[in-house]
Amino acid sequence: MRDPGLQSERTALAWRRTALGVLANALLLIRAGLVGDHTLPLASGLVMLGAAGATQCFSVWRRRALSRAESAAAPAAALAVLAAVTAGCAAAALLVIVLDAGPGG
Amino acid sequence: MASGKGRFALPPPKWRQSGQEPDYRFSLANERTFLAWIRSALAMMAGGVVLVQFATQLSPRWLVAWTGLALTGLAGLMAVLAYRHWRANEIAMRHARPLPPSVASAVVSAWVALVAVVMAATLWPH
Repeated sequence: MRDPGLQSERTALAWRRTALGVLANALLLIRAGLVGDHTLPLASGLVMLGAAGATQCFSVWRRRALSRAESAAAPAAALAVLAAVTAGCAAAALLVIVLDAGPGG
Repeated sequence: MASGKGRFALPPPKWRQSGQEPDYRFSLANERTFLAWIRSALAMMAGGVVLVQFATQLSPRWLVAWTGLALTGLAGLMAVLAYRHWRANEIAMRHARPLPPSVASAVVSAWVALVAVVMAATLWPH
């Protein structure tokens, strides 16, 4: 039985939810950078903000690609970049914790 | 077989040039699984940052800081493993092999349980 195209919708939604997650972390990093006056976390947060926008745009693009051909494969580069950005965000978050907890803890 | 998308197509990586294109539903499920892991990683690192930055009444501070570090460190690792796992699954599907085992779920469950125990310890009145 042929899938009526719900898979592509789920996949595009998954990208959108991911974009929201990236956005939330971007805001946390920006806040931490501003409040604690840390430049590297702030810069990382701004990069993440761009990444959130890019991920959202990608979700739209992916939706269109999938509506044209349900078998459209996800470009490996996009997934690799997302994983790298997430890992970089974790490194920035680690830095924030170390910087803020340093003197007292 | 085509994975190019018009003007912006990059050449597919080598591992995508061998084997057969998997059933698209399995590929899409694999993609969504990857994204779920990424979201889990993002949630964990957000949790680590929020814990250290906002839960200021918890003590001892050194334990809170180490818990935050543990959460964000695992989150970074999770992101890297998520991509590797997605790629390994795609390759296995292309060659009609069984999906590679992943200890990730067990590790994450153990980690989260550990963090929960530590948090309970910090909340214990003393």
